[in-house]
Amino acid sequence: MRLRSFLPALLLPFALLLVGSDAHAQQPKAERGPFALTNARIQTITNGVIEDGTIVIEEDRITAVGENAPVPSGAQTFDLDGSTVYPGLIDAGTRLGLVEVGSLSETRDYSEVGEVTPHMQALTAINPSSVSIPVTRVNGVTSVIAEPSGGLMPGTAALIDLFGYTPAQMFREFEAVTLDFPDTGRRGPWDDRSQQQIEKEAEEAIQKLNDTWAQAALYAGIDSARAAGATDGQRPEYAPALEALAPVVRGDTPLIVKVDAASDITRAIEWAAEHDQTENVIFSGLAEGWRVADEIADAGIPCLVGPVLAVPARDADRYSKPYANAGLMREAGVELAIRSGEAENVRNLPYHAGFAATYGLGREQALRAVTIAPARILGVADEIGSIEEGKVANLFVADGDPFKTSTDVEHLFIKGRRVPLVNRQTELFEEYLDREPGLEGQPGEQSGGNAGGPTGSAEETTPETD
Amino acid sequence: MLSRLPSCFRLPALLVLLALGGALLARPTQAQVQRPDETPNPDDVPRATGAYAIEDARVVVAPGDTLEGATVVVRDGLIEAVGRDVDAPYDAAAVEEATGVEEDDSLVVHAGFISGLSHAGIPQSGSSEEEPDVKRPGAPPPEVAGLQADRSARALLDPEENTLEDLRAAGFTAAHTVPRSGMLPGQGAVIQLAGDSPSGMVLRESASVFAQFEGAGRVYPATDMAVIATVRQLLREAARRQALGERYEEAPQDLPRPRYDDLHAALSPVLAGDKPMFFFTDGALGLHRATRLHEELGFPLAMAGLQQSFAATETLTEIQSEGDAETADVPLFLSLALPEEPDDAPDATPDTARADSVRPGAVSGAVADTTQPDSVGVGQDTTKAVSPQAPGSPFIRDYRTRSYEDTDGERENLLARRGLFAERYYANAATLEDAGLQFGFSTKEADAGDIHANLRKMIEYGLSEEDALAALTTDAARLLGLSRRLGTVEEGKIANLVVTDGALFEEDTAIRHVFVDGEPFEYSAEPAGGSEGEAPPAEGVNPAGTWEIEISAPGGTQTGTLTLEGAPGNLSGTIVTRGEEQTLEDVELSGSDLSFEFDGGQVGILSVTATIEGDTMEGLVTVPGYGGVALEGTRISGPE
Repeated sequence: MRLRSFLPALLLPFALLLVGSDAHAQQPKAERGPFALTNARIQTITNGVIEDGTIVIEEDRITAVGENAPVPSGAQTFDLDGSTVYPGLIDAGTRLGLVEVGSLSETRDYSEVGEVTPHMQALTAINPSSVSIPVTRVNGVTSVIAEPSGGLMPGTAALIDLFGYTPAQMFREFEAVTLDFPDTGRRGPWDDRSQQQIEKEAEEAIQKLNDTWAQAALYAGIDSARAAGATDGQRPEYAPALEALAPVVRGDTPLIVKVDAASDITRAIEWAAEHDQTENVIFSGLAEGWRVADEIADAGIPCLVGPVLAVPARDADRYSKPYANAGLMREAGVELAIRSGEAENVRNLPYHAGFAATYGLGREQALRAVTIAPARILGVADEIGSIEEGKVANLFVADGDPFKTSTDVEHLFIKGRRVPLVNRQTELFEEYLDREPGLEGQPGEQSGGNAGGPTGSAEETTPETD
Repeated sequence: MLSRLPSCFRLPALLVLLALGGALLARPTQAQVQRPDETPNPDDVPRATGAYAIEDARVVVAPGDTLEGATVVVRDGLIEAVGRDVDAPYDAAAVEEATGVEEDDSLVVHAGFISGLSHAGIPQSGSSEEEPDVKRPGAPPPEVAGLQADRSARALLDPEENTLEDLRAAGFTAAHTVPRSGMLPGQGAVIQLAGDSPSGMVLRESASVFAQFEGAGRVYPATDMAVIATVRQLLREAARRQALGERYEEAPQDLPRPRYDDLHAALSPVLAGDKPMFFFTDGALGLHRATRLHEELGFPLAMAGLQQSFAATETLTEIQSEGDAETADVPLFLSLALPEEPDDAPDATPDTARADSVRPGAVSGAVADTTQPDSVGVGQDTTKAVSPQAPGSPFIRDYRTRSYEDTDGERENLLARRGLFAERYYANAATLEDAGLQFGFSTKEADAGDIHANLRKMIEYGLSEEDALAALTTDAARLLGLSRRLGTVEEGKIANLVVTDGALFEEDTAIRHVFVDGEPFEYSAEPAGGSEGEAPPAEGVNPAGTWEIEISAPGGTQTGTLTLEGAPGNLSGTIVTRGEEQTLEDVELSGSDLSFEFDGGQVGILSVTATIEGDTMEGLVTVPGYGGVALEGTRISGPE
């Protein structure tokens, strides 16, 4: 998306609403391999760049990578003519698949009523047919964390690949309970609570968090005792929330702690240490992470930083602080990945990374922050995050730097399937290109009237970048 | 571009766009989307287990029966096991021994206390109600007359009502609770002092018909005379209605159908002797009146309050030992409220002679006095009086001095008499104990926070600790007919427990845990408040003086003058901006952080937090509906 022309982006959602869905009829299907990508410039991430190489994809895996990798017979071969192959981008924090139209409560599945609902599993709510998923794929994003939000413990987040017809097919073997750490920062300019009120509410929330945690620890202890064969007593009643927290207490399931303000980050670090969770927590958000980057680095807690494309948390901060945040944290030695925190705009992930790259993180580190770094933090680095033999074939081919909006993604593979880059926006583009009959005779003939949105949009926007 | 902003900043931008083009309605309003549930629900911390174990504790099974080093296991609302050789089951949450407790003190487990009469869980009715316009004040509608015996305490119960929590904190776990106001406010229910729903709290519904000598003000019955007459009238009417009803049931033909009457129906169990009429009365006079009604009309009686029962021990002894076994027991519940000790009395602490004079049995002749309401004067006690010639005389103690010329002496004498009189109340429980009367305690008039101090006072004035505990637990349970379910720490009983960190009636003992129906409530040893939270002012930081301040308001920088006076801990001051002076509210200094609020006129109450360093301050002014703006200040004079 072009930065200076945001109007089309604004208008597109209405266009989506205005158009019926019969365009799906000729949807091309994803194809199975084997594939061979030849004459490729390969950005392996972990093993540098192969300037002219070949990648072979069989079943769901990358079976060969290298300058002289043999192409198996029968493989569908794409001559990339020097285009670059990147591993699929990973967004470490989104609501993708959990919401369709934000203003329609029927399509919002990311927030359950109640403060302590860790047993709400995002994976069960994922809509594999979400219109936003194909839109996201065109920019090279192949895996995302879909996370619930709202309340103290909104639920269990899941890592999904962006292709599949059921949530189970999409699941990428990582789940984490999310904790929205009680915040002492204002939530926005409209937040007119007094400072005392904010602190009091945060204090109560911390108390509730600690109470819940104590109960979860007790529940886990009882469960362990029973599993160890204790007979003197009864099995406690099933408490779904505590059942979901018990593996977190034991350190088997990670805890994603959403925290932004500097003072809250400090408290979250202390909290994690007090509850023996320092090894198990992953911080997420960290709008003010740069202020306490040393503390985070000392604690050794990995961070999912973002959104990068945001305004500063404090009026007094420079406009560029959110862009520079990841770079400053990296400089302090924090292990980090970048997240967009978006739902329908997860496709902007490369631009989040791009801004971070420009404002201090550097291109290479920024690329790692959306590929191998999140894979390592989430414990799936042996499967995704780089182009290596034996890894899952989540990758894409781009005709330039994926962090640039002018770059086109030419091919995209998820789990070895070549997924067509068709989406709602390309369909709309086709639909409104060369209209016959045009808009002659309409009231508001010039674009800008209430029916003119799509015209303006189509003229100024290319499908690949929007 | 818009979509890239973090969600929290979108709303204002959206509002602008909404104004520009209505089409944007398709976008969500983010504030609403982001946090659909802002109000925390206090009940949603899930419980891991319904089993609890209090290990290695001193267990007071019943008054006078103590187990050392025992374990109590509570499961799903009941006491599962008590004993020295009991092991905690694997699923039991250990009730932690309080930290900061003296090393050799283990936790002490008592049965939960029971209040014989209270309004716990019954909300105060709104005081703003206008007095109803009654056409015939001589025959008002029953609800105006205070005749609402058909109301049930259960129906009025609110599990969130404050007194429930206050009483729990004082160790009470069950109570006989009654509706408020009027001479017959309604039917009492015995309830557990915690629960999710009114019905879940009820141990016994409709346990009594509550009555008190309270007139209805400007309508009949306005006086005690009329109250007594109304009780008499209602019971007779109810008896007649019952007789008519029975006759109609037998042969309805040719008989007019008897009208159903709520009040009469509510009173019929009292007539039948199934349910007591439960009188609340403070004074000796009311006690005698209730007794007379009971003797005359033959209904089962229970009484609470009884603050002057020291003047009626004979009557009480009589009614508790009268007649057949059925009606013998008139349950008595002594108020836990005590008159305040006059702190400016010449001798406010009881010396031996003084205590002996009112403590029954200590000095011969003193007991007889206490049974006579008229003998409330000082009597033979010469150690108390200011003047040896005429102790306690309200008038002239020295015939050569006129009373109006001796006001100091009068005052002193009056205070001494007040002190002596208060002591009779303090010794009241001991008086009843010595008279061999069975009683429990009532919390109706008592402030929950004073209860333990008052108990200690009763013990100081002669009540034995064992009897005090019995009155709180076993006796109260027996008098309410609940001794099979409550009152002791025994297997199979309802898990109502009070866990303290020392001997119950010691002054420095605190209640650490209270269990109601097996549900734990935890209390900290130190009562909250005071030292908590506030950091002491940092060394050398004194914000007093006159400060020139600059506020970077959106419309341009504003200057003002801030004047602070007083010492840290007691700061006050004013602020002048735009030529207007405002007084500062809530000025507090914590460490080197200063905070205060002031009225910003049209923009509302502004709250300021600032950090002081030497003669400069830096901070934030919070503007309602806008956010924070920076504040800077420099001290131009002071502190002196």
